[in-house]
Parts: sequence; structure tokens; C-alpha cells
Amino acid sequence: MKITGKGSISNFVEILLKIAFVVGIIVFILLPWILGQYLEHITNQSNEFYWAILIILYITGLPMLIIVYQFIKMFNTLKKATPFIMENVTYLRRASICSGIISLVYLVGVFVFQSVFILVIIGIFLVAWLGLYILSELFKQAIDFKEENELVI
Amino acid sequence: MPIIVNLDVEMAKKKMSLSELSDKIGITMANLSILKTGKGKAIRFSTLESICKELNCMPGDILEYREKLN
Repeated sequence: MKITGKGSISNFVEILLKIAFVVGIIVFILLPWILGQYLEHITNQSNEFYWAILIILYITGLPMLIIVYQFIKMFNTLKKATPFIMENVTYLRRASICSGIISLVYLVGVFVFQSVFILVIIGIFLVAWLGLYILSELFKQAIDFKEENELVI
Repeated sequence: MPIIVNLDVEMAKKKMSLSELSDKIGITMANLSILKTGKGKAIRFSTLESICKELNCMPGDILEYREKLN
């Protein structure tokens, strides 16, 4: 099974990411309606937390869409089998910053809604924040090595 | 860098073109050009060996150390 290039696993993941991105945008736009329906479904009445949840979901939804978009662009470079370029470092760094924003927003949010789920989300995005930052640094070092290697004749 | 590559001088002496040399030593024109213009960071002994063999010269004819002027 091919990892990179045409007809590979990375190509398949890229398609999944594109679908997730489009669905994400649709959900993002319809969020007030979806959230209203959902809260009505679980509580059978209008919820006092509606606006707070909506604001938090909008603030964290945008960085999430940006993260998915960065990954789509990164997988695009994988398709061409040229992953070690400076652009990928930038994409990873942007994704890392967005993960940081999401974890910080939920860190504030946990004071409003005491929920185990929010703690899990904070944990995931904290790890993603640091992990993606370290990955971007690794990519940068790999690019340096590659350039060094290419200039040895 | 204080190490100067004098490949162009040596090539001119032997009246050999870049494409001719690249054909003879089996290195791409692009890589040989990097070496000639001084953009390279290092040279393999094997590359140096084949260049010396083809141009019939010494490594010292191709590489020169010139102290950096501050």
C-alpha cells in the first residue's frame, strides 16, 4: 500500500479531510439552528446556556476549520511527494496555534460548564498544540538536513 | 566561505565545457554548476577524485583557502 503519491493512503485521507471541511462549513453556518434543535431534543425546553454554548462553539469552530484547511494543504504537498518544504512548517505552526486557541477557550469554558467532556477536549487540544509545534520544528530540521545533503556534490 | 572553488579556472585551462565534464564524471549539470559557482557546501572525495582524474590536476588546483577579510 502506497503511503504518499497518487492513489495512496494520504490521498484517501485528503478526500476525507475535504469532506470534513465542507461538512464543517455547513455545520458552522447552521450552528444556531442545529444547537437549538439539539438542546430542545435533550431538555425539551429552551436552554439558558444556549448563547454561551453558541459563542464557545463559534469561537472554537473557526480555528478547527482552519486546522482542517491547513491539513488539506499539507496533504496536497504529500500528493506531489514533496513534504519537506517550508510551507508545511507554516501549515503545522498555524494548526498548532489554532489548537492552542481551542484548548484555551475550553479552559475558560470549563468554569461555565462543569463537564468531563470539556476536560477531554482540553487534554486533546493541549497535546495537539504542543505536538504540532514540535512536529513543525522537526520538519524545519528535516528541511535543513535535506538542503545540506543536496548541496554536497 | 573562505574555501574557494576554482573549478572554472581549471576547466578553462583544459578547455572543457560544463556539459562535457558532467558527461565524463557522471554528475548532473545542475550539481556541477552548484559546485562551480561556489554554492555547494561540501564535496565528496569520490567527486573530487573523478574531477582530478578528468582534468588531470591536483585537489589543490580546484580548492583554495583564502582568509576571510573582516
